[in-house]
Amino acid sequence: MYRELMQAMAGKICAAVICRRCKADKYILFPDARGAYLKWGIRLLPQYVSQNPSERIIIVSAGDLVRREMAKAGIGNIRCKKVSRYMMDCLLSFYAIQDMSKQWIVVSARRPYDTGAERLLGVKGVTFRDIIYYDIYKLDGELT
Amino acid sequence: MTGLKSFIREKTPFVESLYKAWNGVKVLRQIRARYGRDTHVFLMRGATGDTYLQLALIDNYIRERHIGSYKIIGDSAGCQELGNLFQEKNLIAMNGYKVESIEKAYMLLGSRKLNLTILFPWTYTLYCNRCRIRMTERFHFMDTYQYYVLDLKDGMQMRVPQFRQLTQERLEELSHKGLAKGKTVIVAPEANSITQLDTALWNRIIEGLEQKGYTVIMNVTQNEGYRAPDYFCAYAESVPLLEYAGHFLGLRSGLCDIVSSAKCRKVVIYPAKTARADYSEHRTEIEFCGLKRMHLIEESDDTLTEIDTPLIRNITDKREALPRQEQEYEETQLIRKVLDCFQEL
Repeated sequence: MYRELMQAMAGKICAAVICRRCKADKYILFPDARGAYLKWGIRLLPQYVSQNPSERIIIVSAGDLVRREMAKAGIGNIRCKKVSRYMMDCLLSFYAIQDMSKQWIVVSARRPYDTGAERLLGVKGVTFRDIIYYDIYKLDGELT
Repeated sequence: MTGLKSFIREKTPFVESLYKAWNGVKVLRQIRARYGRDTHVFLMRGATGDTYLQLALIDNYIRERHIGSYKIIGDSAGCQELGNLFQEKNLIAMNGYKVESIEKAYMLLGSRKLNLTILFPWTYTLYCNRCRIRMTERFHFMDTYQYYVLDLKDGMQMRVPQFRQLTQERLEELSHKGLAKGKTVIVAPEANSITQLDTALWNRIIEGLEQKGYTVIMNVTQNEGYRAPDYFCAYAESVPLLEYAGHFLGLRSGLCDIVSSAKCRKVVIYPAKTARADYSEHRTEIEFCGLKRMHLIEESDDTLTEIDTPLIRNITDKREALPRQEQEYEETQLIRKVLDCFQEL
């Protein structure tokens, strides 16, 4: 319990430093730099950018994988900020404590806490793409 | 302790949230100290309809996961009354602050560490990536509970609520108030998740019903300007009362879930579906919240009529009110549709 509380406090400081340095409108965090979240998080990123053209976006990830995958996908116009794995944990603990959803997008339905969306996987055709499309990037146009 | 809480409240929201997370863990510890360390805790929130459905369906989850000992913590106004409907002995009513504290602990520590199940995960306080998929076309509201909340892939059964039969004294009281058996319409014009209809429009509907020979009573918290008298209807008596009255007319609200089993004529009004509504918070259209669509009422049951109208909308739908001429047209249409559902006596 106290470890998580301390992490949240460290995350608050880290978030303040990142915000001051990067001055972006939206920070997209990739806590699970693997599998379906990475794949669809990057694949749907151009669509998110095109629906929110006025936002200055920074990708925050623990490791280089996200940056490399973005380069492979030909996304070169979005800046990346690399943090340590521990710092990512701290940022997520901070997000669990304080609502940053206007500024942050966390590309995961499991972190900082389980939203339950993965329980819908496979039900009536729901895929990871749907989770990222509807719940994470909140893209509209199909939600009617 | 009160002093500490108010001191923290005065500080930043961040500090208060830290305190809440700590407090949430403490509350859960207290529950387990009292009821046993393996006690599974369910956090039940939401308005009337949500609370009713959570209580009706929770048994499926308990059975499937072989949960031996459990407690349900709720903070909604009617949770105790609804708990009594299902004779739920494991319900603990708590204040909103404590419940939010438990939610905060869940957000920081997760479900497994806390042995906790959240039954209302789309609440505002759980702000991270709130589920919108559940509101896409392929799902209806009952699916939300079956697949999303309770993760029941192989169907589910609803607990049957136990309503209190009307006593002789009660029947005499109803008769004394002029509520004739089988000739009364109980009107429920209030709902939390959709906008309301004008009182003037309700009065035109009431007038039409009276002309057809019905006695009308309003199930409202405050009778402000309705031409019919109001009558307090406790949840425990709602179905027997409706079966006595014979007719129900209301906006789609949680009360409709509760009275869905009543053997009487039911007319329920929904917001019309719009092309680009904001479904991130609510959906109350027939396609999502219809009582037949949710399987609360059999598809073949012809005692229920579901009507939709653009005169009402989801509270999250920010579109403006209809132009005057269109509004008048829709009002006339709605009155006609509603009155057509009630035969001349």
